[in-house]
Amino acid sequence: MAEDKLRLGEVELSCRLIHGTGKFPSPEVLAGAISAAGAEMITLAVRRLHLDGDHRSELAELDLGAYTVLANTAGARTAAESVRLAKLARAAGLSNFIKVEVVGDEETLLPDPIATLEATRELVADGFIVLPYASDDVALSLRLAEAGAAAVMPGAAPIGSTLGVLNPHNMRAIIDRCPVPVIVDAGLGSPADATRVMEWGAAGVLVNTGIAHARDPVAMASAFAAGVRVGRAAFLAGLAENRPAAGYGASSPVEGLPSALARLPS
Amino acid sequence: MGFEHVTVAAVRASVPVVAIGGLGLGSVGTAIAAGADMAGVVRAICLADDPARVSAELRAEIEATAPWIRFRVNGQERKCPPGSSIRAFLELLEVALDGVVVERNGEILRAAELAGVALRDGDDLEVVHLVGGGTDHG
Repeated sequence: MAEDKLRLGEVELSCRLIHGTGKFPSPEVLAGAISAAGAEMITLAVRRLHLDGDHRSELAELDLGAYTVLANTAGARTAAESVRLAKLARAAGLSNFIKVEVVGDEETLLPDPIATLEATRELVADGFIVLPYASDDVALSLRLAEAGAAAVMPGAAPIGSTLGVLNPHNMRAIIDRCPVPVIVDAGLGSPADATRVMEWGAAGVLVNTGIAHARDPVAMASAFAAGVRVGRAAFLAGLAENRPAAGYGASSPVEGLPSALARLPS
Repeated sequence: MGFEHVTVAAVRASVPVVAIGGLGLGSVGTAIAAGADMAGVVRAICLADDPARVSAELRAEIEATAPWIRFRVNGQERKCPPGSSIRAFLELLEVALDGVVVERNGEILRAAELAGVALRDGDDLEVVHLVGGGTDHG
C-alpha cells in the first residue's frame, strides 16, 4: 500500500494526530504523551519570558527540533494581535507554520470568524503556512481555503469542552466541500470522536484537553492515535452508504421465508 | 564590600534600589553608576564638621553621575547601565536566551541582532518565547 501521508506546506505527516502541549501535569507526562501518540506536529503558544529565572519550561523534556512546530496565536483578540503573535512565533526560528487563533467571545472562547479570515489573508501574503482555527461553518471554511489557508481547522466544540462533534452535519459538509485538508480541532473528548471525523474524511485532528485531562494522559494519547488510525482506515476503505428514508434494504433475503414466520403478527 | 551587588539588585528589581552603608563623598557617585536609584548617607553627614557643605557636595556628586537607562520589559520597569546592548541586559538577568524573541517598540529583533542594539531610555521591550499551550491554557 502506498504511504498515506498528510502533506501540509513542505512537510508530510504520517501521524494525523496533532498534539497540543497545554495543561499537562508535568513535562515528563507531556513528553510521554507525545511519544505515545507518535505525534510529528505539536502546537506551541507565544508568551512572555519570565524575567526572574528559575522557571522550568513545560517543554523541558522535549527536543523541539524533532517535531514540526505549529505555533498558535492564542491570546489574540483581534486580527492585528494575531498577526503580531505570528511574527513573534516565526522569529523564534522553529517554523513558519501558524495556527491562527482569534478569540471572539470570552465566555465560550469561540473564534472570531471575521478577524480569523483577515489574519489568514495577511499571514498568507507574508509567506506563512496558515492553519486557521475556525467555527464549524461551511462558508467560512470555503473562504479560508480561498484566502490561501493550507488547511482549515474547524472546532468540533468549544476549546477545552471535550463535548465531541456538536454539529455533525456541518462538520461533514465542511469535510466534503472544503478543497484543502480539514483538521478537526478543539472539543474532541474521546478517541471515538476522533475516529468519527476521520471516517468522514477529515485529514487529521488536533487534541489537547482530551489527552491532558485524562486520568492517564500517556495511555490516552496512544488511544487517540489509534482512534485516528482506525477512522482513517475506515475512510480509505469507503464506508457503506447510509440509506436514510428512501432506501433501507434488509440484509437477508426477504423471499422464501417459511410460511409460519410470514404469518407472525407484527 | 563592592558595588557588584548593587548592580545585580538594580538589574533584577522592578522597584527602586537604595544603596546604603558606609557611603560618603567619593562613593555615592559610584553607587549611582552601579545602578542604585538613591544613596542613603548617615555618618558622612552627621559626623561631618560642616554637614551642610558635605550634604551639598554629596548631592553634586550624585547629580554629576550619569544615571542608568530606564525602560519597560514585559510590562515591568527595568534599568541598565548607559550603552548596554539588549543582549548584555538579558545576560545580566541570567535568563536562557535559546529561542527568545525580542520586540523593541513594535519591531522584532532577531537573536543575532541583540548584541548590536543599544537600549535607549523609554524603550518598550517584549521578550517572548514559545511555551506549551493554547487558548484555554493562557
